[in-house]
Amino acid sequence: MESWLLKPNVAKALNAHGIDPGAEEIIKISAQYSLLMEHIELLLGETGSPDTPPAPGGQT
Amino acid sequence: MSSGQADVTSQACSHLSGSDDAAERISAALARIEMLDSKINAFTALLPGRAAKEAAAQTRERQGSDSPIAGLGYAAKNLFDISGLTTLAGSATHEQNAFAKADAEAIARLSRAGAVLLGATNMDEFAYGFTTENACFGSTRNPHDLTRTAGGSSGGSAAAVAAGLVDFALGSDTNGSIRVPAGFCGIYGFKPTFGACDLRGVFPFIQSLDHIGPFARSAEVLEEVARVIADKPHTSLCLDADKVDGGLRVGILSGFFEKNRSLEVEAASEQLFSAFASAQRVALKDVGKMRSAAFLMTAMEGGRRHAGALRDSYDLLGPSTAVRLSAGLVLPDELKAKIGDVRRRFQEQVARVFEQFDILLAPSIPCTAPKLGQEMVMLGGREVPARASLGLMTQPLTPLGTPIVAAPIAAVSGLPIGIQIMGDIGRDATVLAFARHLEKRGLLASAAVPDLGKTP
Repeated sequence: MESWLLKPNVAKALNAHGIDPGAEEIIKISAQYSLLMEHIELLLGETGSPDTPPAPGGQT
Repeated sequence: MSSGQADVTSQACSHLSGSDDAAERISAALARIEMLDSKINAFTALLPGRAAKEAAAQTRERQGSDSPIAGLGYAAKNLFDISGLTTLAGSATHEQNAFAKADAEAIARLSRAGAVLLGATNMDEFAYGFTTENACFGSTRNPHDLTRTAGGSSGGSAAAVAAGLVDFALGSDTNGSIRVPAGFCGIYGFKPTFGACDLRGVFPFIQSLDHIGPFARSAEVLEEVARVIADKPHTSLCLDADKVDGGLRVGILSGFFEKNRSLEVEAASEQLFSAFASAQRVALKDVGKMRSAAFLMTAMEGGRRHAGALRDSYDLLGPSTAVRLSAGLVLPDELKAKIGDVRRRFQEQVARVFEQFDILLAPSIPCTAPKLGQEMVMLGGREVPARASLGLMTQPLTPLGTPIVAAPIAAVSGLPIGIQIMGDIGRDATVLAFARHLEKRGLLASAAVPDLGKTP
């Protein structure tokens, strides 16, 4: 697996942008990132299906 | 007043004062908003002074005006710049910003065409959502059932039109933010071809997906407003009035669009589709993949756009906005190229489909309007997260940049249900004319204005 596909340390990644939302928020953001990773899997998955199942949750 | 103008005014305002005097009608409309908006929370600002001035000008000038929308009252989502108001974009982080110095280009055009701006409407924060449940400005309620969402992110605009408070309204659509609320509120909405409208003075969300467009209770008013705000000239198009399909080649999107809808949406849309005896089913490939690409593109670009607000005003952001933008911000840049590949392949596929079809139909909403705060909905026999799923029908189509009318199916019992009428890029006139054609044949109709209380 390419390294950029691995889940980052969310707290560190946000700190790099000068953002420190606190531990409780980091847990929620990390859970949201996991949902985005499911979309990444679908994005990079097999192509050509007419019946692709619905994408996972995560609020748009 | 020209006869065309009289037709549009009568269609737009049958629920308002019957007066032909713009100032009287606008005054009555403002009184009605003040009386009823507390029930649906569609507006974040009213503009009685500006509206009175614009209406008085119309009363003076209307005799000689040939604009079909002169004297109609409208509202604009609060991400459009309105001179003298702060452009909120649905966010408490903008409340202290300076007033806009000029109107957004779309509003300036509508003013020149004689339309009267009555106020600004509620929305999801930064247009990031499908429910208009706004942590700072409150939730907009669906006029057809006050316990339910009006949809989003342009929910205030859609609710104001559906409640008969304005003749039309402006919204924006990045993932379905015009089409979803139009569907839930039982009215028409239009997302023009990408780039057809000048977005100056519109607070951006995702630049390669942002569209603006109108809501209305009739296909004719929708078209007249679209003509005013779009850059590209519309050509008139004559459809075959004797044929249900108007003489056009109609396809019905199947596969993903059939598997991810509720039983109510399935019943209503299939009943409508049955009117098109010769229409073929079209199964596009990789619709779910395209939807995920749009989902990721939105999170990624949204996070980067609002990195400053996350850093400086995290606590002022709505809780779910802050979490979603933060997750999007840390998505890797490498995704951009992958998303671009999926989008390009999907666009090429649909361009080939449009060699065989003039119109493609699909539901605009996967289910009827959920309750405010509802967490889960049933789609395709499975329970799925509500907020994330409300854009299932619209989100995969937005990256195509094609023109789409969201239209209410006539004679639906219960809550409103709508369809999307999509044409190829640049065929805005075709989809608008087709909506008008189906409306005349009784297949499409806005839901009746609900009785929210006494009308002044």
